[in-house]
Amino acid sequence: MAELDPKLRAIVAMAASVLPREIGCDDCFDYFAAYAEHLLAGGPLPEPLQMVGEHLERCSCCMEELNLLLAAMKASTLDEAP
Amino acid sequence: MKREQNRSNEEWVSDLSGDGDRREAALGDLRRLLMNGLRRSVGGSALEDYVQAALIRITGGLGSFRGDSRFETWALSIGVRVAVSEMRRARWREVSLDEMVEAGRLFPAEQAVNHESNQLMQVVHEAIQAGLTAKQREAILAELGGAPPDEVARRLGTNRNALYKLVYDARARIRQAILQAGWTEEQVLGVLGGR
Ligand SMILES: [Zn+2]
Repeated sequence: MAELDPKLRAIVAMAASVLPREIGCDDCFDYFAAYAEHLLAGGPLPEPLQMVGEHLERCSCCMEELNLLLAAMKASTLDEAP
Repeated sequence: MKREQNRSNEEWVSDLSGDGDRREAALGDLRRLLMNGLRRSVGGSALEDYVQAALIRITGGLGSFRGDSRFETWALSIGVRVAVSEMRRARWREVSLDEMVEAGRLFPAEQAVNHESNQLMQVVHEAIQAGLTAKQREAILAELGGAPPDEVARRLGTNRNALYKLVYDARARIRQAILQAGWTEEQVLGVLGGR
């Protein structure tokens, strides 16, 4: 198929990704630190954290902040090393 | 200088809630933690200001720390949010809501790829124009144009959490319009998957 207009693609993707229940940025932030630690530790995510992951895929602000938090966690761990 | 001591979550909260030397020492360690963490992630020339604002938020919000992560991670998450919010505000200061919306506007007439995508463009365009409230339309187009949600929220006189819900409803309405126009979920995914 020919190239789809990028903005049309983006808005259709936004519409197609609607879930029956999504959490907002406030609920996401409540579990933000726990989510970041689980992500670094690996393994399956417990249920409330799965919804955080779903929110992050749909919210550019929260996703940007997660990546910066992961970087900040790494930076502060380096500083704690002897 | 005395090395930063390792505190448990409970010790962080009790030291920061107390007074005197213990509180001062904990505040100093917290400040150092934030400076170190944010310097190599968020960066920026106003780092000290961000850290100061974050310290106020953290010490004022100790009651909302549930202990489901390390205290340090929780504090860093607040530091990141405070710093990034301020940086976004500075970066987007000169951009009006109209400009944000304009950057996201769809132009159906320019779409001449093939029949299928033309039809989808028409459905989406109509849903945006006729199926959304003015606020929903502005919010979703501004985001489509690449504006960060918290800056769109500020201009619409709301907050980021409420904006997410506003855009959620807009996404759901557009999805409904696409399905009502006779598209199946598989067809939509097919269009998205095709390049
Ligand atoms: Zn969010």
